[in-house]
Amino acid sequence: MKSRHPHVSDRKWLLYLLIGSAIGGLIGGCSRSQSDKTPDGRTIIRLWQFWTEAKARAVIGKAAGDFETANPEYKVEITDLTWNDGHQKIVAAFAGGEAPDLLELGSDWIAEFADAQALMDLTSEYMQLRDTYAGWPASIYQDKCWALPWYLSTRVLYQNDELVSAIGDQPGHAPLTWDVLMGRAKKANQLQPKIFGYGVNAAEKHRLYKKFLPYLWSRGGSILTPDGSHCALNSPEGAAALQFVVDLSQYGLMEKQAQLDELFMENRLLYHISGDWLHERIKVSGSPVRYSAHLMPYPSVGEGGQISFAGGEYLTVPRRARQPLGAIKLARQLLNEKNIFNLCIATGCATPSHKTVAANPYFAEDSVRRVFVQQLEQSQAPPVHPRWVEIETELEWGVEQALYKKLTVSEALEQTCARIDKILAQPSKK
Amino acid sequence: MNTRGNVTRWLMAAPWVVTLTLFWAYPLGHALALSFTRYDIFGGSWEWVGLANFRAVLQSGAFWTALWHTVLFTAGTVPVTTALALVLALALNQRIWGRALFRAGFFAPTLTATVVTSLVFIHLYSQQGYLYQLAGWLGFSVPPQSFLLSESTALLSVMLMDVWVSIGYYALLFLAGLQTIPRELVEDASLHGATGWQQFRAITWPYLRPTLLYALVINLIKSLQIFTEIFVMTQGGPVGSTTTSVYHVYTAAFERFDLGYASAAAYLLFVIIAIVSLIQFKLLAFGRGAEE
Repeated sequence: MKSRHPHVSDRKWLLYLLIGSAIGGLIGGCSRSQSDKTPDGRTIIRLWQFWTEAKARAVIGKAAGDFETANPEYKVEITDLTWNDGHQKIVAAFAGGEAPDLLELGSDWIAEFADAQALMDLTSEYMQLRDTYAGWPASIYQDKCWALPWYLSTRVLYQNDELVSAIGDQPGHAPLTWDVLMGRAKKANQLQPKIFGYGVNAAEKHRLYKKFLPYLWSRGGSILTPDGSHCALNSPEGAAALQFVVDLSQYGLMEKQAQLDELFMENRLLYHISGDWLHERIKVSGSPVRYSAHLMPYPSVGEGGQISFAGGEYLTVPRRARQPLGAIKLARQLLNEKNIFNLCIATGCATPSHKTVAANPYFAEDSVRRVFVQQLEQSQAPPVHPRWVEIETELEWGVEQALYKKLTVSEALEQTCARIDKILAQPSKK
Repeated sequence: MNTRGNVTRWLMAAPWVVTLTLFWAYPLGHALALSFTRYDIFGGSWEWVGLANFRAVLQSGAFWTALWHTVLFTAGTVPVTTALALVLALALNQRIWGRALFRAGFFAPTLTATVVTSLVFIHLYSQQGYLYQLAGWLGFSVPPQSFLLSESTALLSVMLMDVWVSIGYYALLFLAGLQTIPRELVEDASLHGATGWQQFRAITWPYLRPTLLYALVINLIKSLQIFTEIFVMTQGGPVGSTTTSVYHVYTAAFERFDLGYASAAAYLLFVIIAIVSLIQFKLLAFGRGAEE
């Protein structure tokens, strides 16, 4: 029988076509179909990076554009990651057999990915670049270099000079020892109910340990034994450091990093360990806070060091990269002095990896940035260990238990070490 | 039906079947398989471990603590949200001035992304935040630090936010249920001198029962799966006081990459949710026939 409507048959085929396209699209979308070439024949280099702020993105975009001009055979495709879930996304991508050509990694993750054989050995690049850049220790794992230092980071002690005056001390003068720091924090805490002597990070992953480690290291303690086989936190030095942090917290406020930064800008916090972003944030916000930045204090006169946490952002080339040579070329472009400093100027970063930083007026003429550069020279990176992310979680667990008085300092360290030793006893992830 | 008809039917159903298979059935099956293995996420290799992951989950104190927090969250939010939403729906069902505006206003939090709401509440609950200041001003005992950083108030604070966000949605559901009640029935009851409470018991409640059952089941499942708020606001802290079951699964899967353990924990949670939902169905369906 013929259709009563002349177009019904056509419509039915159109429907089949649409359904077929939908299924095809669905299946096609799920399959790996990324092309290595642009329509005009250029080779695509995929860069995954964490600089998402508009000003930073513009500098990276410009550097990528300059790279394409100098190397017309390449086209750079940039994918943004965030620190909140970037690690998971990278692992998921590697697990799915997908990888970019050039990948920015946090210093804490390098050993993990190197151990899983997910990264390319960059030792030959290291041999050529080691005198030009700083921050190599975090990129060396099992005697090979797996990453190129891009931007380094450290933490310094911010001091509210107005509050220092209010407690009768001289503004701009650093607390050189833990005792002085504690004494001043105590006095400031008594000024007014809403003024606090010290900002304590709590209940915030990946931050708390950075505030405890400076005290541990300055006191001469360490996280792991020299061979990395056991936890070494449960030592007299570890106990002294943790006890000091717990005691200091009595004269401070436990808050998240962003809130502590805000309190500092509101003249409500005397001391606060923070990064270079706070200096930039204060400048941009126009906050009237009078402040200075200082190196970490010594445990006591003539004892220990002024050590802070060192970390950073590194460029790596995944083992599955389809354009490793192009990726290394692009890495060198991003690492060149001009680009590296431009990105710092755009974002307020105080510690680029390029060794000429100390001589550059942008860094040398700013009193706070200068402190960051000095502090970096006395900073230490966490152990380069493939299970560092898990160790870090346990370390933060222990510090939090002590801060919230759930456990005594010795119990917290003992139990943290037991948990870390359990991790260390597990086989490698590869 | 002829072959051509069968083909047509299959083609029509194909997008749904393919989507269901790829994005629902396959991940479920894959996760079930993973729960019996030790899986190397980087190498892609796996080792059969039988029920070891399930045993590890059941022997883990952290799993039971997380489950307890989830139960507390659910027990604290579901009844409160349901009761308040019902009261709100009854109020919004009256002929009051600005009714449409109120309806839209109460529903607005539901339309806002949970991440955004959570970020706003982080600030509201902080030392500098409005709610913290208000609580202190009203004479409540406030912790020295933010509500979210105090062990005694963190979970409660997340629960309060969840109630605030959810009320509008469930009120809208109840409002839809109330619209199905024949007006003449209510008018007739009024004419015969039935009080407001008698009308509610004899008319509103039986008509609203299916909506209530739906709302309770949906809210219960949602509460047992609470994750985003925890992820954004507390990350399970302080000292693990807000670690819920799904957050526990998440940390196992995406921080420790122990996918076998995480899958086993997720399946156990699935079984628990299914049992609780079934019990709820039985309890609420009981006596329905008699009333109808």
